[in-house]
Parts: sequence; C-alpha cells; structure tokens
Amino acid sequence: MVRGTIDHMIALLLTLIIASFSLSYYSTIISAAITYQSNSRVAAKNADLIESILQSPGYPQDWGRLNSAPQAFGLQDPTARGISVSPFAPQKLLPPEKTFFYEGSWYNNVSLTKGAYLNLPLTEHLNISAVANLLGISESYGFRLDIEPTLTVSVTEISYSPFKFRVEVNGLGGPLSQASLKGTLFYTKWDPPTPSIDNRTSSAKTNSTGLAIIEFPFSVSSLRSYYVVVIAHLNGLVGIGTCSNSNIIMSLGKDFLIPLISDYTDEDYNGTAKIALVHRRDITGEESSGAIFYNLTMFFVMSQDYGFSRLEIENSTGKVTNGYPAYLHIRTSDPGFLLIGYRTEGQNYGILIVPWGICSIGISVAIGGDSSGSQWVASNLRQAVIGQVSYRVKLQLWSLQP
Amino acid sequence: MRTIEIFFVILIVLGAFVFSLQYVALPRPQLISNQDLRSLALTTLQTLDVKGELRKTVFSPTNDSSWAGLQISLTSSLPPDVVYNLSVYDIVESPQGFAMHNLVHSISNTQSDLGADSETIAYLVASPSTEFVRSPQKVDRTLYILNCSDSNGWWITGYTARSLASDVESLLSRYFQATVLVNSTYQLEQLLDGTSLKGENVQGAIVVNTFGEAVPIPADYCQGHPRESQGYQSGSYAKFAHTLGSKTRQYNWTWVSIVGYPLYYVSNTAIFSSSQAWGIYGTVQVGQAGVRAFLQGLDGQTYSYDSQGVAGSPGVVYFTQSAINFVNYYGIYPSYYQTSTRALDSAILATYNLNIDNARGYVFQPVSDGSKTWIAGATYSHKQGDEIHGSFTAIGLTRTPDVRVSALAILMYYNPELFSSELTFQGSSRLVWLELAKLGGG
Repeated sequence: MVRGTIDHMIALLLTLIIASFSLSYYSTIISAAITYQSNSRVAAKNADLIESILQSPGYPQDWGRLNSAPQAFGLQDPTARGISVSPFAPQKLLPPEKTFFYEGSWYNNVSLTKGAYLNLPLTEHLNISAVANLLGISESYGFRLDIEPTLTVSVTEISYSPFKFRVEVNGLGGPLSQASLKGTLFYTKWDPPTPSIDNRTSSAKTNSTGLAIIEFPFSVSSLRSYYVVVIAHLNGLVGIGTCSNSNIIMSLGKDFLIPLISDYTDEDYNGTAKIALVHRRDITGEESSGAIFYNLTMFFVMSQDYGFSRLEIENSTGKVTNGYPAYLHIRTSDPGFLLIGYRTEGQNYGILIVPWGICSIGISVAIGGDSSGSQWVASNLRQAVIGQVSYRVKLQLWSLQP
Repeated sequence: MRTIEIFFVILIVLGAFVFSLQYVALPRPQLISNQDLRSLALTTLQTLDVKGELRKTVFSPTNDSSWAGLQISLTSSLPPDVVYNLSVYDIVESPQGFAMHNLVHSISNTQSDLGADSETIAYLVASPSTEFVRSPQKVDRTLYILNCSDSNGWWITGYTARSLASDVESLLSRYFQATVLVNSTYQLEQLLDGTSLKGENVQGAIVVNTFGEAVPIPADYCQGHPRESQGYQSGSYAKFAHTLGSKTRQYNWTWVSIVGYPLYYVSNTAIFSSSQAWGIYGTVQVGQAGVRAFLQGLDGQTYSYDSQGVAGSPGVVYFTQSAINFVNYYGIYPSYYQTSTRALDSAILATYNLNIDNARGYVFQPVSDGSKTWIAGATYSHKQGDEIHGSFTAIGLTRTPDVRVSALAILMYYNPELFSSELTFQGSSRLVWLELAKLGGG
C-alpha cells in the first residue's frame, strides 16, 4: 500500500513537471507568434503607407505650391508621375528650427548650406500630427519619413585665384568614382550701383575615391562674391552640391539681404509666388541701415546637359533699405533657384540663393518622431527622382499600442 | 512496475511534445518584415533609366566602360548591407517558335549566391535605337511652295521666304503626293497657266505663299507688260489678286496665306526695283483691296475695286478643341494662343459664298466684339452645291509668322491618316533581372 502511494506521488510529480514545462514552452511560442503577427501588421502597414505616399500627389495635386494644407497626403509629382516626387511638397515638411517674426507673420528659417536661404511662412508648415492625421495613423503608429539625396556632393573652396574647388561624391554604398561633374560658377561683377552677375562653366571627373578638383578659367585678385553649383552624374544617378563665399561673409560673417517667401500664390500676379527681399536690420534690429543694391535672376536646371537656363525677372535690379523691402514674383511651376547678387553702400559684396524645390540644391527633409523606445520598427526604402536629382525615400513605422 | 509505467508515460508525453514541435515553427524574422526588396529593386532600375542611361548600357557591348559605371551606380545607390546581382537577357525566338532568354551580361557585388531570401524583379527595356514609325497617308495632291528668288516678303521679319519655304517643306512634304518649290515668278506664271513644273498634277493643289503679306507677281502681269489686263487696273495691282482668286477657283486650289493681311503687297524685284514699301524694295502696296479682289475671283465675281477693310484685331486668340486634337495627332506644337491683328470679318462668308467646315476648318475660335465676329485662322471653301471650287486658308496672326500654324491648318483640312508600324519585340528589347538580398539575412 505504501509502495503504491509513493509510486503515485512520484508519477504525479513527474507529470506535473512535464506539464508545466510544456505549458511554459508553448506559451513562449504563442507569445512570440502574437508578437510576430503584430510586427507583420506594422510591416504591411509600412509598405502600404510608403506606396500611397509615393504613388499619389495628394489633394489638391499642387498643394506644395499653394497657400493651403492638403486634404489628402501624397508626395508624387503630379506633372511627371511614376517615381517622381514633387520638388515642392516636401518643403512644407521641413521642421521649424529657427523662427522669426516679420510684418505680422512667423517664418521658418530653414538651415541650409552657406549662402542659401529658405524662409518659409510658418502657417504653411505641416507638422507631424497633421501628417499622421492625413495618413490615418495618428495614435496608432509613430513614423519617420526621410527624403535624402542619393548622392552627397560636397564642394569646398581651394582658391579663388584661379577659382578651384574640391569635390567629393559619395553614395549610400560608397564613393562614386568616374562620375562626370559639371560646375557652374556665378560671380558678381562691379557695375555701379547694382552688381551684374557673370557665369562660367567647367567639367571634371571623379577618381576612384570619388574625389575631383574642378577649376574655372577665371581668377580675381580680391574676392567679391560667388556661388558655385556642381552637378555629378553617372549612369542615371544625379547629385548636386554647392559652395559659396563673399567678402561680406568673410568680413562681417553674415548676409545683409534676407529673402522671405511671403506668399505661395499671389493672386494679383497670376498666381506666382511672392518673395520679399528684406534688409537684415528689419528682422534682427541690429547692423547698419545702409542701402543694399541687388541684382537677381532665376535659373532652371537644364534637361539634358546639366547646365542652367536663365529666366529674366521683372524689376530684377533695385535697392532695399531699412523699412523698405523689395518684392518680386517668380513662376513656381518648375524647380530652380533665385540667385541674388548684392552690394552694400560700404562696398561689401554678397551673393545668396533661394531654392525653389528641394532638388534645386539637394536639400534633405526629415519629419517624424523618435523610434528609439520602440521594440519593433518596420523600415522601407525607395529610390525616387525629384526634378532631375536622385533621391531616396525612407519610411520607418512603429506601433504606439502597448 | 508502477515506476516502469510512469517512465513509459513520460516517454509518450515527451514524444508527443517533440512531435508537435515540428509543426509549431515560428517564421523567420525576414518573412515578418522583409523591407520589400522587390520595390527597392524596381525603383532603383526606374531611377537609373529616367534619362535612358540604363537602356543605353544594356544595349552596349559587354566590354563597354558603361557597364563599370552601372556597377558603380548600383553600388552607390543601394544600402551597404544589400547585395545585388544584375543580369541582362536577350529575348530571341527559338527554332521551335517560342521565346528564349539568352544571357548577355551579368554584374554583381558578391561572389556567393544571394540566398533563399533574395527578391528579384524583371524590367523590360527597349533599345534606344528602336524607332516607332508612323507613316502618313499621302494626300493625292500637289503641294506648291512659293520660293521665288525674285520677290521679297513682308511681315516675315526674322525669316526669309526661302527659309520659310524650307520649313514648310520639311513639315508637310511627307503628307502630299508631290511637293514642288516655285523658284521664280516665271515658274509662278507657268503655274497660273496650268502648266506643271515637274510633271505633277496642277489640279486641286495647295499653294503656300511664304511671302507673308506680299505675293510674288510675274513680270508679264505688271503694268506695261503683255498680261497687264490680268494684273493691273486703274492704278492698282488688286487686279492680280483677282486673277489669283480666279485661278484658285479654276484649278480648285487651296491658297494659303501664312500671316497678316493677305495679298496686301505684290513683289517683283526686277520690275519694281526702284519702288519700295516700308523700306522693302521690289514691293508695291495693294492695300485692303487685295483680299477682297481675291475673294471676288474665288467667287466668280467680276473684278471691282473695293478697298473697304475686311480685317480686324481681336487680340489674343485660342486654338479650337479640334485644332488641339490635331496638334497631338500630327505632333506639331505651336502655342495654343496667339495674337491676331489681321483676322477676317465673318461677313465675307455670306458676301463671297464661303463655307468653313466646323470640324476641320477653324484653327482659332472666332472672337466677337459685339458688332462683328473675327476669324483669326480658318480655311474658307467656295462651294457650289456640294462641290468645292477653290479654298482659301488665311492665318491672320501678327508677325512674325509661325508656319507651324499654317501647316496645322492644312493638315486639319486635308486630314491625312497616320499609320503606325508594328514595334517588333525580337531584337529591340532586353530583359533586366535585378536580384537583391540583405547581408546576413540568408
């Protein structure tokens, strides 16, 4: 009898041990399967979202160029379609880093390379929650959208007598060797009172490490101001890089003329965009109030030979003084940049550009939250073309549910 | 004994547990979120082919340096943890009649196999030298282009009649049975007499006057010459315009005026060597009577000098929808809106028994100013019953002429059909396979 009871007790104990072991192991598997299912849903949602963002221009189709928020979110270029992304819509996603107030409106001062200014009306900015609402993922998913040039073209000045620049071209997977470079140098000449702008072109090719020296057959004894744009291309990949310098930056460290995009569509001027050229003192309250004489022209990227074609603008020369800005209008249907050369009363020269469209000088755009606290982040990458420049678009998505 | 039984139970339970484990297998993480390498591959190839660079390389010889460039581009554009294998296949027809893929070339950034988790897409590229030809129906008429070396034009500033004649020829000659340049006023006289210049058919021809507001006049039709009665009367050369209208009616021509006020001047540099109009020597002004005289001749009316104005200035005018459709069909793309300062009064339709075909006659939308309706560009046909006896295409735009508008007007009126040739698949397309895989994801 006692022997039988001991046997039963041992049997029960062993059965319980095996049962609990099996249960714990099975529940681990089931728990993992549930997690996998949830992650799979996030991945599928990511794939859906990136397709809807890149295969639709949103509504209205030209929302990137209009004074209104979109009712449906999409970044596809409505004129080119396919894998083309709108050059203008991502501008409205640029996060406000430095803002300032001028004439009753707030402006977002976007940080760009030296000599480039993009001061956008803050009212037109689309923030993270607005985008999440339009995508229908607010409170369900967190996201981060990165739009970056595929090629990084870095241009640095070696000398201006003659003009010589070091260019480095890198892609995602390494340096871009044997890339053809075409450089255009814009330089202000002294023509009283407003400086005229001359331009020269030059070509080069990168070596096995993606480096090249590009020289222009032009030199000056003392620097006034210049802006150089270098386009790198190889077998369909296109990148753009810029460099700028002026004696006003060298001597005073800042530009005295500040351009603002004050209206995306000025109905009084056939729907063209309105840009204000403002004296720096009107914004900062500092510096001298001397007059600034300017000369400006807009350029478009050419379709075949990676140069630029010039579009003249009405009232392209003039004067800006403290309290008296100048206004001009630009056609917004094509990407390009507004190039402005100026001179102060103190004979300091400056040059700056206002890019219209992120592809004009290869601007990167990033909008979204921080995924660092998330257990699982689904990521998708696509290649795209903006204007003629090669870009990559990356969407990261994570669940906000506990 | 009980212990042995228990051990058997344990073995059975463990056995069942291990057996069931074979069927409870979690998927690999790569299957949960595979980063959609297929879409990445497709967009990569599309990006590289945006300017046609990919297809140029794909159809290059395998030792061409562009293949190295393609490899560098692929490596630079893809993330560093992605490996690829790109293969290009030629599509040929086997002796048995089915399509076969022959490997042309392959490039990769790895020497090993990409593994089971790789994704592949196929992308078809057409050869950059493939030509898709559209052959036009040849209209069974002769196209005459006035190219008289002994005449000068007016309102063709920036061009010469010769350059305009060359442009008209390159735009239109493929659509007509014969194209003949009328190289002198003497040849024009022969034409007016119904004599063919190169064996072509004179009847039913199209005559394009490239001299703008002026028209060449043969010497014999000038004052003091044998055919003065057909060219000059009571101090005006409007009589010559009447003769042109009569000949247009007689031979069922379509007379084309490419810009401005039709037949406002006559020109012969030999006869009018000391005469000039607006500084252009060899030219005599006819004035507003010219077009009226032409229309009289077209309508079979007796010549009667009438200098009452028949042209107006409606300003900016727009293509009709029909014209826009034909623009795309024939691939001629002048601006959809132009400026007209010599549009004809629609009253001439009734005065001279003219008709404009609604579908193919109007190039620009008529513009009404309340009292009159102005027609900036149209083809006017003179009809008797259902028969057409001569037509007049008048493009009353301001200078300088865009001959594409006149070419469009002619093509709209005659509407030759375009036949598309077949794009053959074999030899003109290649298949590009791009296989991507993530390093460490195999």
